[in-house]
Amino acid sequence: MSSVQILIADDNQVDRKILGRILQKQGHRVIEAVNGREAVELYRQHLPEMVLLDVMMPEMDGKQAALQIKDAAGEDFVPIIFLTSLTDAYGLAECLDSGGDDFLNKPYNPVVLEAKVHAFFRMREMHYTLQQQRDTIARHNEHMMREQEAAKAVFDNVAHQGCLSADNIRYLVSPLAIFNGDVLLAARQPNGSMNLLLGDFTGHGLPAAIGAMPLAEIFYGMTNKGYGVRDIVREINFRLKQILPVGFFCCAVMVEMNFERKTASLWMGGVPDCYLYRQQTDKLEELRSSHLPLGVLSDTRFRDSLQEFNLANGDRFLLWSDGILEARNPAGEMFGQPRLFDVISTAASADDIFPAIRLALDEYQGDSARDDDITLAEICMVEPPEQTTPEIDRTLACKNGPMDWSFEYRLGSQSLANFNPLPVVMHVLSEVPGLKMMSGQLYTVLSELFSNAFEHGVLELDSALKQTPAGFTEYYRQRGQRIAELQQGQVKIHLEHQGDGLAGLLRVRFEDSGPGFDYQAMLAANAAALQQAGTGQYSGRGIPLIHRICESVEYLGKGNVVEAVIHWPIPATRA
Amino acid sequence: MSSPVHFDADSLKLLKDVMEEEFDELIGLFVADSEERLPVMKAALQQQLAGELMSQAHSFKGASGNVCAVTLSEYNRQLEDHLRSASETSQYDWPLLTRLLDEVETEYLAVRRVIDDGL
Amino acid sequence: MSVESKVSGDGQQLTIQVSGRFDFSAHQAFRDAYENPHSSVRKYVIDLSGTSYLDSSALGMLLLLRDYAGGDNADISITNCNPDVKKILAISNFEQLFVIA
Repeated sequence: MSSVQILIADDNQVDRKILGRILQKQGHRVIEAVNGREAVELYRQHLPEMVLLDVMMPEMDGKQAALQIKDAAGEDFVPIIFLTSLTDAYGLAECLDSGGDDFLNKPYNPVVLEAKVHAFFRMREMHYTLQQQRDTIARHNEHMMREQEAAKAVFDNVAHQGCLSADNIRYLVSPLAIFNGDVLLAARQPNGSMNLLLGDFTGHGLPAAIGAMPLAEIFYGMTNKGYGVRDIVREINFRLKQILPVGFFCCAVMVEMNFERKTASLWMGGVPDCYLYRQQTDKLEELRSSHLPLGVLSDTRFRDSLQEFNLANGDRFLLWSDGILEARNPAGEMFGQPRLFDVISTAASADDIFPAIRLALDEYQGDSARDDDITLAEICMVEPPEQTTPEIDRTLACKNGPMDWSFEYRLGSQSLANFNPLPVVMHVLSEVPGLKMMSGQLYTVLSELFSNAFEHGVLELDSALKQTPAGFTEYYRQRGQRIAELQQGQVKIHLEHQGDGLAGLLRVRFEDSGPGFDYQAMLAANAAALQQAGTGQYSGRGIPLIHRICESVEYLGKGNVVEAVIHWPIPATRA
Repeated sequence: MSSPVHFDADSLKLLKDVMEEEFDELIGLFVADSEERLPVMKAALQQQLAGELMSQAHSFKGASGNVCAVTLSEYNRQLEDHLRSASETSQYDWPLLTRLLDEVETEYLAVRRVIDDGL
Repeated sequence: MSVESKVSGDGQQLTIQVSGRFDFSAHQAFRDAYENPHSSVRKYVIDLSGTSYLDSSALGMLLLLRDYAGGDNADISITNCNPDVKKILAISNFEQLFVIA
């Protein structure tokens, strides 16, 4: 042990001398004070490493001096040893209360004294080391927090393009949730449909944050191009499998809401049971994960089968990661699925469900409230958004872009079963500035015409099936089965454009290999329905929106060919 | 009525080992200190300054203990203890305190003789 | 938490038993349990009879074992799960990757 500087305060000269002598002989440096006041002064001047204090001293007694010295030392540990005799048992507790760390009995025993000095010196060093480590940890932590904030800013730039603020979405997500591994993304497809993805990466921190980046990019990029849930989860799974180490994965639920058709498609993997609330019947339907989480299976083994729903306005999905079930009360118990079910099923109305869950969580967690790991979202079926055609920027429209072209895309049975051609077609159309402006409407038209050609034409599915909930499920069962068994068949997409940069005309033709249908009868029925102030139920091929956008929609041949003509800009009377 | 043992022999040897050449100086200091202290204690007794007397007895107890004058330290302890317990009610038994201080003085003189004889 | 493992008499089967909470704290022990035994092991049995709880990092460890044991060709059974543990495995649809008995 190196030399230690020790302050001795005792009004008794003899005592001071003996003590000082013992310590000096042991190699320590000694400073002497004759009373408490002087002890405090000398402490401040020399900052000795240890203090020996007599209890009873004139001017200021030992206890008072101890308080002031401890105060002056702040966070540093200065051992204070009171000098007493065994018979001075009175007031020992007070000495400890005033900051004393130990006692030394008179008469002094050099062996005991050396042992104590040694022990306290080690304690002081330990304290110093702890302080250093604590400061280092604090610095690292601060550094990490700054990095997390920076990373979050980067992530926000990627993730912020979304529509989480839409009126039909409510959500709860902690500010730094990304570092808890949770992601919540929502965006609209060009046709107004909405995609929402709630994901929960295993593990916290960096792996989660890194995985969330490509996930968000894929989600937004593909949604903007008009891809639906099936293609997006497949692509995300492919990418995550590529980049995440084995053992890391992302539990996720993704839903696609089509507000025109009043349908939803859902993919769920590794997420705890969620709910679909149906407003008309006031019933909760349990949604169960039927897939492995994203990033586990190779692309060839990945399963993208979806759960399909027919919804009414006001119906809503309630989705969460496991954080909500594992939220703990002060006693450490978990919130759990039964409690969540109770809260939801006793909510006063559909709109009260979400606030009720939040309130129940707050109350349950009490003072231990930490929303850190809770991500929760509600997405509701509503009226479709109004599709507006932006004013054409004449200067932009006059700029280059292909004006006179045609394009044919023929899809065989294998392509039809595995591939969605619409994003590619949209990409071609978007090269025309005037068409790019109305890509939302165009997408609606194309997706309607394509799914008619494919599902009713090639697959020969009966559209009447979809009128009842049971039939709806049956429709999708048959659809899956027929796609799996599809051996032959094709859809030909033909596009032709003419224009001068300020206006143009697009001709879209879909021809399928199916048997066609009696379109004359359908036209007559629709005409009759339209005459009843447009309130009639539209059935079969075609929805009113298409007619609002298109100049004309005509069935040809035996009903297996449909041709739509679209003028741009759309005349104001129709848009 | 002094005790036959004035110094604790073992502790004294240890003290001599520690202090080496400064031992004589230390003892000289103790004597000078004590010669000053006794008149102060007597005056305090006469003027019935209990607090001052107690503080002096406490200090004397410590100093004599440290030079291994165990009996002198013990008498000072008795004096200090009486003063301390009496201070709770301020009911001081002055004749008793006079006797106790006498014992301290008598023992000190005995200690002094041993010192003068070269310990 | 404790992880114990033993190899069958013929050296073909490795049984790993995890007791208490199966979470990140088991990471190293679980890994040691399947990486150390000799290479004759063909079949793995994860006995969770003593496992009270399973978190997502435990799921990750099971995937690591599966990868180590040959990926899609791995022969791994997970046995004796209590209802809570079974539920967690079911939510994650791990029955698609493991034999859950």
